[in-house]
Amino acid sequence: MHSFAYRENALFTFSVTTLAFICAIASFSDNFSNQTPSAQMEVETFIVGYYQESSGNLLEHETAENNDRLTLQLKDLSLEFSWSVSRLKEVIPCDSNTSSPASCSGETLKSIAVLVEEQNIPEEKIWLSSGISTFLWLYTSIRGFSPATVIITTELPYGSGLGSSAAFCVALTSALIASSISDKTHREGWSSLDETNLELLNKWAFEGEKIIHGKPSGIDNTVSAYGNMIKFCSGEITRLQSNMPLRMLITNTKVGRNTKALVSGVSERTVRHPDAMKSVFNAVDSISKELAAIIQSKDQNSVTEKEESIKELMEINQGLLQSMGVSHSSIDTVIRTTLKHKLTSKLTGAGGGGCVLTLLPTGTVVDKVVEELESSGFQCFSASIGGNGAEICF
Amino acid sequence: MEVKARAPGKIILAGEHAVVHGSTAVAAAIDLYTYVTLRLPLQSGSFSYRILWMDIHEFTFCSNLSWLLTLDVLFLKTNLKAFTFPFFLTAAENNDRLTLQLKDLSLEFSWSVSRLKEVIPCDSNTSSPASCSGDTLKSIAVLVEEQNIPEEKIWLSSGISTFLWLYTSIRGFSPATVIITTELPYGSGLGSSAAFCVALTSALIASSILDKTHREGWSSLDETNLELLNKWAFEGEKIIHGKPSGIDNTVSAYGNMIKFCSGEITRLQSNMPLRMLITNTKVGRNTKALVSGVSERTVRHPDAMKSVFNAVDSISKELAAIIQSKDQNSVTEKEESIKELMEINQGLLQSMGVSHSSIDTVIRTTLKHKLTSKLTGAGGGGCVLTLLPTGTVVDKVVEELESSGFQCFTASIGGNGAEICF
Repeated sequence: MHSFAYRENALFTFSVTTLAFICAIASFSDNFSNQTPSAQMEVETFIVGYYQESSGNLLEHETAENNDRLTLQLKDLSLEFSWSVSRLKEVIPCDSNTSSPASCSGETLKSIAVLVEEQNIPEEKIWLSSGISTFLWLYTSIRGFSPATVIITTELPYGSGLGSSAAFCVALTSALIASSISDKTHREGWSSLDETNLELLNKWAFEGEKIIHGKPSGIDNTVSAYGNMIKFCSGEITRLQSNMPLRMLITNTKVGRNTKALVSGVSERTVRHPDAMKSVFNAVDSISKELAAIIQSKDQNSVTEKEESIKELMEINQGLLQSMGVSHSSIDTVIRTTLKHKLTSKLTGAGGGGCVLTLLPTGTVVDKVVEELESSGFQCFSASIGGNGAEICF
Repeated sequence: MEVKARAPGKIILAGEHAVVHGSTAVAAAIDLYTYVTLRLPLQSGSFSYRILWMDIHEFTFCSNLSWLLTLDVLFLKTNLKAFTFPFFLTAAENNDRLTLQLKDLSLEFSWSVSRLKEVIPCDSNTSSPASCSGDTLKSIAVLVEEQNIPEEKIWLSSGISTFLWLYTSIRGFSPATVIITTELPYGSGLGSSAAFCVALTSALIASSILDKTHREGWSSLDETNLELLNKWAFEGEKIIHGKPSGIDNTVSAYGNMIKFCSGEITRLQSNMPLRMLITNTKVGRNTKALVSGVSERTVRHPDAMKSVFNAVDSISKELAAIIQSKDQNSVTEKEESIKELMEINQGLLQSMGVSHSSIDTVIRTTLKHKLTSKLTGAGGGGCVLTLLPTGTVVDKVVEELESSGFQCFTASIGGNGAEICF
């Protein structure tokens, strides 16, 4: 009745239709899978992990090579340094006084430097030496000569004026101090140390900073340990209680600079023009005092008014820093860019490059300005100011 | 007869804005001038003949007597004495009008002397300058409005009012032609209005000096006349600016440099040559708004701003000392000091909030060539000064600045003040 061709045609059409139907179902089912990635960022330094093998507990760890070694892993730089505990005992003098922090003596430092040199640090990362020396000294001073692995990661760019070295010292010391806390009842998440331990922590971290920086002010480690904000004047540090939220855009110009040279440049200018520079410094003093007052004030002033004040103080401060001669063309570029978006910026730290702060008043959308800054080759972070200090987690 | 006068513009080396709050400022004359030519019509000493069949019109050069003598001799010789008419003034273009020509703008304004007499009250006291009263100003404004100034040049009105008032106050209601040219850009903070007042007043005062023995080239007035000049010019500035400080006209009149503090003006004797590059950003600005902005910031942050003004005061005093010093310090050392003071001053001006993106662009550009700059005057645009140490070659930096749309002048600082020439 039907020809062969007719049957073949019908069969073929049926197959194709069925195939099409199956494909349609398959593509429709794609809509049900969620494919949006997300990410977030906070600016903190913390030690990811710190574990110890004690002779009593046989934690069958694959890295059995650790049980007589002290290992330091810098995860961001993919570097690892390791010393045998016996080698450490040979070289570093044994001061078993861990309850009161003392400065690292010149000889101890030299001995430690020997240990650091044995490690073959890559040429371009030679600036790590002082940090590794600090690590060895802090570790052996607080925990003695017991083996362990210490892993460091950070969200702070190195040498950019954001206190990465102080954060390192504080975090390391926090972990070392925490390891000796007998009450290890499982705390949920991150918590801060008590006041006594914070004081101890701060002193040790300050000694560590001395190894890295020579003559640090103490501001960096104090802020890193206690958090929130501090007021600092002629060696006197006052902790402030901030009563307003503050958000800043931090732009790293990635221009390296010589802090010592910048500081001495200002001193030389002061010698040449003492009266003018004295007034410049007085102006900066007034600005800092006013800023501290605004931040702590419990006035009924709206947040917007306070932000406007802070904005203006930042602008005046930046002009004064320019008078001191510590600005830089890269800093000016950042300032110019943010100004186009009606935001006020000032350099932070030593100047001559480094980081620039931009105040972000409540409700500011940063996408466009970040885009522009990043396309100029700068690195941007958005950060909350005045948050927590050092914290530990078991 | 013709009298020429010229007056320099000015720059503020240090202290702008802070000077309003009691700090010291240093200003200097620059060798960019406003020129005024006062062309007087034929007086009784020069003649024009109307011969029956020939008109010999006005003579425009001073030594016309010999020409007239020649004609006289001719007529005498040809016995045509009967045909010579008594001397009288013909209808020379000027003989009953006051004309103002602004050559750079190709504008001309003219009033009949009789019209001036009608409107402007006659105060015949020309030896002691007095302020222009409100009524007089209103009357003069009427005369200015009759002139049909083009819309975009309406800012000229106050300058023209000043012209009329200064002229009629000093020379009364005599006809003349006054021709103005200038090397100074208008409204850019270089003192163009003061230079105009000073140059005009110089020419007017010079025209009444009896001793017109032909002086070679440009020469300055004597001390008494300079004082008179300065006072008149200050009154003229008041019409244009309302409440001027007096710095502009003093620098323009006396030249060299001055130190100014809380109303007190001290003339300085500069002992070193200084060259500056002056860059006009061509960005217009509202001086009043900028000055009040600084005042508002001072109200909000009194302590910080007070220290800022103190710093500016120290800078100005130090600058004045360096310029006047007869030390053995080399010129290079002094220039280095001045350079640093300019840098500190610029940072302080930024603290006051009177800088501008165009100013920052100029500063950035000059910095690439290792030159230090600071804004001068009100800020918010206007002009930027760049110190040129001895031996600096400016071609490249000028090229870069001009390609960004700015206008550049090189100028010597601290030169002569107002000068006249017959």
